Amino acid sequence: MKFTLMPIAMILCIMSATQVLAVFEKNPPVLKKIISEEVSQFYVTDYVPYVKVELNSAQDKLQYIKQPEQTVIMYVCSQAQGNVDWFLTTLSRDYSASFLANMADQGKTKDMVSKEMKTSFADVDVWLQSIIAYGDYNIIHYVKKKVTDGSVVGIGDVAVRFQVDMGGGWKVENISDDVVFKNWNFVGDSMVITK
Amino acid sequence: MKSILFTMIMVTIAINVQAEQLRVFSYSQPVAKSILEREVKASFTDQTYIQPSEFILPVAYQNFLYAIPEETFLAELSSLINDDDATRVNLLDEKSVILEGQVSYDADEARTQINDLLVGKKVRLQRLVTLENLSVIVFDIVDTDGSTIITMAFPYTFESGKWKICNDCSIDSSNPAYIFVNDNAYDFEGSEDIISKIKVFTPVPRY
Repeated sequence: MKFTLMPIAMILCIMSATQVLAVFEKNPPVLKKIISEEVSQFYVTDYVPYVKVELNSAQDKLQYIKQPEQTVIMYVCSQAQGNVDWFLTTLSRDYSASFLANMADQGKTKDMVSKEMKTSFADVDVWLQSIIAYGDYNIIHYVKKKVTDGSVVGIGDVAVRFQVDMGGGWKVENISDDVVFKNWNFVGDSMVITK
Repeated sequence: MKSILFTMIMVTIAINVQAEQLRVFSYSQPVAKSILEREVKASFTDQTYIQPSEFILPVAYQNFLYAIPEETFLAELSSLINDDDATRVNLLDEKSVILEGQVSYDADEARTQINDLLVGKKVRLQRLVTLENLSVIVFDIVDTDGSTIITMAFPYTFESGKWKICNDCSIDSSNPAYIFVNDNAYDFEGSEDIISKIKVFTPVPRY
């Protein structure tokens, strides 16, 4: 008897469940996406002619930081001369602190960093080639050319932002992860990055 | 005369000092460029209910299994009207249970407000938006004359084999359900994707 009633009970259960579910009838689902889009606009301007940086310029001749180029010139000259203290003055407060923290983490002294800086700018001329205006930043692109034959041996990008809290001047910022900083030199006038 | 000459000399010196500081650079014509970053934050399904999908509150929810979000939705509203805290607390998801203990409110006052809003009214289910273990039910509270009093969206989350009330979904900005509710996702018709935000970074003057 128990055996014969079970299928009936099951059917009743299914019917009951079906009745409940039937009132929630829906149209076929439409698949949609939530998409985040961010557009960064910027302008690339070349220097005409390219600006040669006098790497031996004395520190006291280059204290004007009201132009982004001047700050970058100091940033480059201080490295070429291995003057770490001068170099640090060109960085924003946060970047300067993180630079010193990195030095400490790596167990490097100022002398060691000074040597590294001098080496990276040894026997080269530095030319400012382009400036990229982007948001609060200007990114200056430079090339290193061999003194002997003028061949390009390296490039660099330096981002500077005007700091109102540091006496009002352009300071170098570390925005190495920024999408424009990493990609500004693409061919054409627009690009799409899909994450 | 001497005075004018002296002034002119001083002005010339001042201009020269300024010229030494402010270096002049020559530029090419600027080239405008842009980068569009596109990220799919979430994929979800959007379903409309076949009408009429209306219920007079409270409904009998004693036999609900809460295997579908609609049951949890109807039980939530009905248990509020019925003053059935045991059922309602059972339907809360884990986060909401914690919040429930932290929030102090006048239960009687809240119940009066809910009763005024819901008793004798119908709810009309409009849409079900589902993203993984989250569902948002968009519904109207309908007056006795058939007019819509208000359109609302309640989020639910699938937890431990049941659909639970997700109170936290409406206040957590990292939660896609928040976007559904606060960006009025239910206003979007058809098969178009939702562009959740567009930021434009434009250059500032250089000097």
